[in-house]
Amino acid sequence: MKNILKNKAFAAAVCAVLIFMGIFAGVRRPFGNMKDEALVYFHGNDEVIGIKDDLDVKVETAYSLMSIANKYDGIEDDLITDLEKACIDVRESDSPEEAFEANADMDRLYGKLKESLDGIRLSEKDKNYNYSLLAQYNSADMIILNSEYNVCAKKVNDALSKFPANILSKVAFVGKMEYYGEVK
Amino acid sequence: MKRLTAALISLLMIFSLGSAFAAMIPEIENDKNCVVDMADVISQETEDYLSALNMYLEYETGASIVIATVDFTGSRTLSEYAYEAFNKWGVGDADKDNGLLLLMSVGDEDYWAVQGKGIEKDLTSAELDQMLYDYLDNDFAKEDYDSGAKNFYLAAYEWFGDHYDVELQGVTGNVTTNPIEPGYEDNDDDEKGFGMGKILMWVAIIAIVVIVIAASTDNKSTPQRTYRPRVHTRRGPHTSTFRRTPPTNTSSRRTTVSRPTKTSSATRRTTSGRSSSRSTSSRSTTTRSSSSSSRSSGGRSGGFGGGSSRGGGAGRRK
Repeated sequence: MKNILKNKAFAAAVCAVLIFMGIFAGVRRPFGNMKDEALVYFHGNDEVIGIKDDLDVKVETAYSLMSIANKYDGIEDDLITDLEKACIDVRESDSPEEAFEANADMDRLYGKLKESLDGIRLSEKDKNYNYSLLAQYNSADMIILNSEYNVCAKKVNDALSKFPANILSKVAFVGKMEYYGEVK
Repeated sequence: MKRLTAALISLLMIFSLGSAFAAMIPEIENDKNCVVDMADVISQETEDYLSALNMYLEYETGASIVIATVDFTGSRTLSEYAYEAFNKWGVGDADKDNGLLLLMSVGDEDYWAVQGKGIEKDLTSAELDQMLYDYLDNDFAKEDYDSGAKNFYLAAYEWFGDHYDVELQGVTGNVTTNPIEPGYEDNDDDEKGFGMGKILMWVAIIAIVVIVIAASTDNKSTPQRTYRPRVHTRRGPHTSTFRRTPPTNTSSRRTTVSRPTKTSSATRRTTSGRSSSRSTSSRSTTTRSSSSSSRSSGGRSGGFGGGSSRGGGAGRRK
């Protein structure tokens, strides 16, 4: 035992392990906290309405539009089915990039369904709902566009790209954050 | 520019998110009102009338009938939404589970009613379905949701009266008649009872005030005593001076102490301070975990009562 402790190579190995663990803990924790703070703006919590909450509003609105479409004959069933699938994908998306892509798909299909409904004769009540639901859908989009998530994610990524964090983060396996959509 | 954008977003949120959140079941602020009109299709007069009837029904039987309207139920089916709302709002009595919820979805053009488990055997799904068909369906098809809600409510109200063998006031056949509010039939007795309590309360308050004033004036009238410590002086033999003779050994260190010139001095009484060392036993703190708002069954969650249900239900005949 004493011989092992006196061994320089062993001591060097222990130092290296300690340094690595120090870097690992020292880099992961602060950046982990920063990432968690940014992700609150994506997932939301009791105090903050996140991007996922607004996406949920869009999904509910899309389902409401599908309810109207189901009452009329001139609408393709496939379009409604595809929109429903897109809504499920949005709900099940975990990461910001995934959510952005699923949302883009949902937007496209929602637009198509709305166009189809505009082309048929709706009741007065359903016509009004058609317009109000679109307003709701777009307003949720505007709120998402002004979300703080990308700003916070950019701060984290900027901090990670500076020296020495850029090297230490690779040692500690701390990756950059995904953005929701494009960041200017 | 940023302020303008923020203001526009706020306005959009106010005007447009209302019906989106109709798909999400809201919290009920005022449990006295038995009408949750998120679709805004029921008149205030009807709401007030039905709320008054419901208060009487709750008073007599503990039961509650809730009418809810939404634009859409969103991703949930009508029955899912109705069950969730029933449990979230706690319709009916928690023990008897005798609530009844009617959910009308205006945009979906459909309705669903759900009853508590406590009355499920007596008000079966088939009977409920028949009641909906007889009293609601025609008006619902004509988009006269106000009349439909009122007629259904009155039918259900009568059913509860028969079920509990109670003469429920307020229904005279003319649906516009205002009901007698519960608890105000014998006004004289109530006023007397209420008056005595009020008088006693005021008497108690006045007595307390008088005592407080009297206590404060007593303190002012009696002069405050000032405590003067007694001074004890010991008188020894009469000597005019007291001289201290220095030691002969000059190598030793001498420390001079300055003495006060006063001849008499208060003796300082030193008392050994009591060491107040209490042994504090470690208390185990029990944290009361608040019961979650999502209940599995029963319990009051703030709302109309406390009923929960996975009972039957009845919807619109297609």
